[in-house]
Amino acid sequence: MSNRQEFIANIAKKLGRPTPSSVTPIEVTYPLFQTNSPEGRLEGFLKMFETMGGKVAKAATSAEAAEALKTWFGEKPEWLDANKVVTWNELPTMARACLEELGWPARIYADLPANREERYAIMDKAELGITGADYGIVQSGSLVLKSNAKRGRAVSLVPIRHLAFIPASAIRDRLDQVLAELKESSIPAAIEIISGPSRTSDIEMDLSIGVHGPVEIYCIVIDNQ
Amino acid sequence: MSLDNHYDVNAALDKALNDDFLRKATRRATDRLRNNKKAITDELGNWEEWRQAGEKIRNHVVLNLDYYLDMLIDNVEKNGGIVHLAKTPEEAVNITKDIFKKHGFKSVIKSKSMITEEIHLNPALEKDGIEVVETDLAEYIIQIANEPPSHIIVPAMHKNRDQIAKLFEPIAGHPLDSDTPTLTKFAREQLRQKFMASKIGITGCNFAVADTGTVTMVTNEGNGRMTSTIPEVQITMMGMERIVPSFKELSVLLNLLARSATGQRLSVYTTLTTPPRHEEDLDGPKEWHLVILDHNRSEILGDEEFRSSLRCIRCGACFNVCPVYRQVGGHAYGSVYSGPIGVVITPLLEQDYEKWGHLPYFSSLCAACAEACPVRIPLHDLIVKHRDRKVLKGYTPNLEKKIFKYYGYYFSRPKTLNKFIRLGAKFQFVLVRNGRITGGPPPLSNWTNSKTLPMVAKQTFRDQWPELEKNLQNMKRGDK
Repeated sequence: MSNRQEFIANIAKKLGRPTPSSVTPIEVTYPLFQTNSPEGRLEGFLKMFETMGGKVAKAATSAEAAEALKTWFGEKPEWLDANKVVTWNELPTMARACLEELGWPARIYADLPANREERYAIMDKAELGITGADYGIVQSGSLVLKSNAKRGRAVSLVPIRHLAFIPASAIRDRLDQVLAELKESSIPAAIEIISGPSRTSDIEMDLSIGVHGPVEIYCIVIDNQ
Repeated sequence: MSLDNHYDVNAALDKALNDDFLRKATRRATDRLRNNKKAITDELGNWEEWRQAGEKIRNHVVLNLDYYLDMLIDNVEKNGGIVHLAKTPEEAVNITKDIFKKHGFKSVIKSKSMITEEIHLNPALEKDGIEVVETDLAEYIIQIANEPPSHIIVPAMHKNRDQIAKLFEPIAGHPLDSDTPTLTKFAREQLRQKFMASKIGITGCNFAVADTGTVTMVTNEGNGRMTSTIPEVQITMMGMERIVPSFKELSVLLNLLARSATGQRLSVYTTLTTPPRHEEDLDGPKEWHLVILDHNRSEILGDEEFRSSLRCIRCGACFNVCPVYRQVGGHAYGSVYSGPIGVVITPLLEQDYEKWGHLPYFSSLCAACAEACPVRIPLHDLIVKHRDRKVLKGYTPNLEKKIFKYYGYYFSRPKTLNKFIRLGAKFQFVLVRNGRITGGPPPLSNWTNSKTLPMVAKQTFRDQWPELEKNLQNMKRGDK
């Protein structure tokens, strides 16, 4: 018997029956949080995103998005430099247009050096990572990001600031709805559910923001429909 | 699983009870976590319904563990991951060491994992000349201090900021201010270099999803994400019961976990990875190992009385409400897992009452733990069962055995007993202060060292009986 068969057979033995060939899935019920309208959902998301420690703005046009960025980072942030803004390849149209409008130089993650040491050295010094987001969650103020070759996982993690553009139509009330939709297509190598900036209370239970992940998190909700 | 070969329960308790900072810090941490939990579970709506859902899901998994484990292994292998099954901690350690040998790695970054504490992985790797870097801030602190975790969620809560600054200074090479932002920033910078240079990472696993081969990890700092994003080789360690059937059940348990552990709606980073990285992906491990550990979990599974303890999702909520834990903190238990759940699972994981028989007495049986548990494990009942089983297995201390032997003898001989009680009533005055018995020779002193006893009544119930019986007869006659 292989190690695996033995391992499984031992569990069956302890349970006092052979391993079943199929199991009826379990049904559970629990109270479901729900917003009542698309407007309510959007407002709920904006509020909870801020509660979680992020900054968020609605934008109908790239000009509005550019205004929000200027408010947050200044007309021309002091940290702005050739390698300081890194983005996904796949960004919503508004995000690219917004960067063009601002005239801020940005690197695309997949265009960084293929050598991982060099690439991570650049990321380590990056000031702003810009991504899209597949879903937003009202109940927890979260962003949900799927990975693929054009959406580097480091972009939302390594730079000091993370900014995500998300269409209002991608906002859901709850995590279970998002997971159910994710299940409908093939599962990516990583699904990151992000709720606020990196934080810790490990020293005397004193809340401290910005440990290993981004110190600041921003979100533009694309609301143009 | 012992933290210290010279562990002595009385010495450990004395040390804890005399450490004012520890006791204050433990109360502060547990109060904070408990209050946060209360607020965030109230917000959710009917918490009891959530707990019932959690219990039902975890029970279902435990009762069908072979089925779901088989499914998980299939899916992980289909995705290109490498599964290792370890019956014992030694096997898990050796599997890990072999992976290091194969690649020749000399350094590893780790995100918080209780399983690696359970199998004592760090010292084993260090013995092989491998530098192990804990990246959770609290784990980083206690690693430098060379101490075990004192709480499964906030492992360094027994350290104050000045002690932490002193620990960091030799690494910094200069004095450090002890304010939280300075200390956090220092750790961020130190660990950044380690992350960016890392070739291999070891992580824990909060839940593995059977029908997709996904592993879930929750962190607030982002170290879990770093460890599963930057290195090209990743090892995930999990206890074999940490499974959910699908994403559907996962969402319930992620809510229960974050809300019970730290009082958050979700942890800052809830990471669902289905490694290895896909072709052309730029981040994430190219080679992924999933190490699944039994370590007598199968024995617990076969033990119907204790099976429910496998439902545990390691949230730590039972620690925060436990009057014993709140007084003495985690180190006094002497075990890797402390708090009520540690009391229950340690003697089972180790299959050893001789060494861990003291743990079931780290409880007042008040049942606050069972009430706090998000998957409704009847912890206090299990603690009583441990006491019971310890006696049945013959691990009772001699003194206790003797006391109960004499108790049995005299209580089955009423005349002799009555004589003794009369003697006691007559001579107890030498031990009585302010109407209570406050001292005495052993074994009485075991009790009176910390509390008092009521006095023996001047007249026993038996002696009072003739009089009482007469009154009773009179009353009955009066009724008619």
